[in-house]
Amino acid sequence: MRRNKFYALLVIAALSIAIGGVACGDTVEDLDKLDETYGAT
Amino acid sequence: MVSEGQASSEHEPLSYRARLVGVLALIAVVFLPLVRYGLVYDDGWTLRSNGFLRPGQFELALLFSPEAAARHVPDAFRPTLVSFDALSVWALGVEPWAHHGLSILLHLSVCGLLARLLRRLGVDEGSTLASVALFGLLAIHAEAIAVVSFREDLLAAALGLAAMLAAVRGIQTPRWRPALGWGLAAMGLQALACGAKLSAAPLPAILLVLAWLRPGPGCAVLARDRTRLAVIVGLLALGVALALAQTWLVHGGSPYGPDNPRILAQRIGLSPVLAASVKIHLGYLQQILVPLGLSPEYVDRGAGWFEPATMLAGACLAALLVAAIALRRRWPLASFAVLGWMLACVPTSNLVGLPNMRADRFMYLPSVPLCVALAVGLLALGRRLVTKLDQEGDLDPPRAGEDLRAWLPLALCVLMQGSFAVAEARVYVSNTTLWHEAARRAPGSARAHALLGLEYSGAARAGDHLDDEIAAKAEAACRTAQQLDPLYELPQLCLGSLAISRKDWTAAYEHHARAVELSVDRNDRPIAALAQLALDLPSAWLRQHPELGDRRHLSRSWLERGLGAYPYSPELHAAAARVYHRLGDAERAMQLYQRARSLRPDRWETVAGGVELALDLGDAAAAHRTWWAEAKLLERADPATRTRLTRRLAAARTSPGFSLLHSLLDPGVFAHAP
Repeated sequence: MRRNKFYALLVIAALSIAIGGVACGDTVEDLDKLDETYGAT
Repeated sequence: MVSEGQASSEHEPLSYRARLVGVLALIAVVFLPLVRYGLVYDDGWTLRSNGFLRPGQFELALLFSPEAAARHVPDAFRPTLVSFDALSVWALGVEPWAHHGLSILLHLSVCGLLARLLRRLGVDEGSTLASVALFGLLAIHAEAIAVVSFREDLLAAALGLAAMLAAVRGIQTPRWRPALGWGLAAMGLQALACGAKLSAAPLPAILLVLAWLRPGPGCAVLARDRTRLAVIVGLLALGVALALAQTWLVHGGSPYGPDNPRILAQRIGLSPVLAASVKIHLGYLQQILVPLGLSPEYVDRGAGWFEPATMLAGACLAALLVAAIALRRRWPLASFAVLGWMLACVPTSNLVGLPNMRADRFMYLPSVPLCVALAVGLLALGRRLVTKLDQEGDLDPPRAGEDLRAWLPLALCVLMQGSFAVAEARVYVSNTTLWHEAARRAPGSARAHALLGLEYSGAARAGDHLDDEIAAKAEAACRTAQQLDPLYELPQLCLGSLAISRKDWTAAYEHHARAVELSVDRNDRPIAALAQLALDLPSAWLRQHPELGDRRHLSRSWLERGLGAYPYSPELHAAAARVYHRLGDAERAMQLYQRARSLRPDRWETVAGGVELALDLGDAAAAHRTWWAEAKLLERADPATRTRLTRRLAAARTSPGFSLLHSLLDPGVFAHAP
């Protein structure tokens, strides 16, 4: 595979995943009010 | 203008190494947003509030004695992980971005080692790159990569794959002497891998299956000399035994304790847990192939062997196993993928009790053989489709390895997996988001509701103001958690924390005491709360409980119990310092503030407590010196504390004995702290 084509494909893949990541998720991000929490396990 | 040399280099075919670096760079870029995420889940317990990791506290030898368990060193049965964490805290501090960066680097190392191992086993360049891309962007890995404390899975996988590489080198080397050297290296790496997490323990058995099925062109050599294979596999097994011996030395058996109620099998028996585990494993397979239903939390539940869902799942897994064995000659790679995955699932299959029956991170290492087979299969499918299309279109046959259309099925799969990985990773951006999502996706989880309630109750109070709306949300979450599991300590902690926000000291004391009664570990912070609450209990309530004695005695007895059991807890030491400060024992309070500071230097509450103590003792010079030296850290203090300290320092400066020069030259409250 040629260099330019390979780099272009990588960039397209990264952009597609970024867009896909936004489309696939429905998480509403909320920042913590505290910096200490009890552990979970 | 582009020179001729430049133009020709742009059109030169890329080397395998350059393409591998490109794939790794793509994986790194996809996960790069994680560096802005916080520390969540167990990160507080294993990293931020783990005083054992701090310089001057960490002792490697302690991790090989029962004292590690007695002192409640977090994850004491994982010496490789604890040592790695200590090294990372020494090098990077506890900055979340640095630790997320380290997790991404570990994941890239695993991908790089996988590529190296596949090439050594004779897998062609295209299939190797395809496997690495699929594994690197598999959605089910989001949890293991996004949560810093789950890097145990990444570390075990990296060291385990390195052990496999060394073992394969040992088998392939013609002469015995260097072969034994590689074997010993494999043993050491395998012991370290299992010392990070026992998920790497099935690797010797997987090597045997690899030699039996010979799925790749380079695998035939593995079975050429059976004595050599037996010796190397034996050395790998010895590595596993060494790690198990460490666990036995520290805990004398299961690291979670023989009667831990957090292990469902202890409550309802092993059989229903194993029946549920059958369904869980079919679910894992689905989530690896189609990443739907991923979650940060799953509810531990038993199942009946004769339930239709259990029988169906059992039949599917049994059919897969039979097909893998029956078709091993025709499709050795697919057979290896199924058998390798099943073997790799054994440590987390609930045969041995775990506090979580199911977690996405458990599939990090087991997904390796499936990713390789899936990637190779998708590439083969792409090539077949291209050939068919060309035949139908009456075109010339494609030039091998150059037709990008053959990569289309794999590319679609990788893009789909990567997109879900990015979406899933966002759940772990903060504890509030994490537990909100966990309660939404697993509404039957007492843990998720309790930890969400704890987040709410912490946010409900700002200074003297209590936000009734947030407090009501906290109470609803705590009560739901309590209804879901009345014998769980977290709902009690949730209600206790809410009672503190409401300044209801009696209810807070009762809930925290109940939490300590129910909990088997991690009691340092409830004990810290109890010791402080004991001083504020109403006299009428204390008269009804004469067995508790007076407030001072009660508070001291909690501290005695806590400080003996949790010598590395910074929060407990800071709380003990505050209690002794209130009781007027200044010397003991100062010692405890200094110890708390050495266990967690980044905690502003400890520094503020030390400054207040110095002011109470009339040492304005030490108070000012510490206030100035720790200005950056104290910027994070709540406004009420900052205002109070500023006023008190200003008042101290009006004293006739105050000297600015003296204050500047004073060593401060934490003169000997790091």
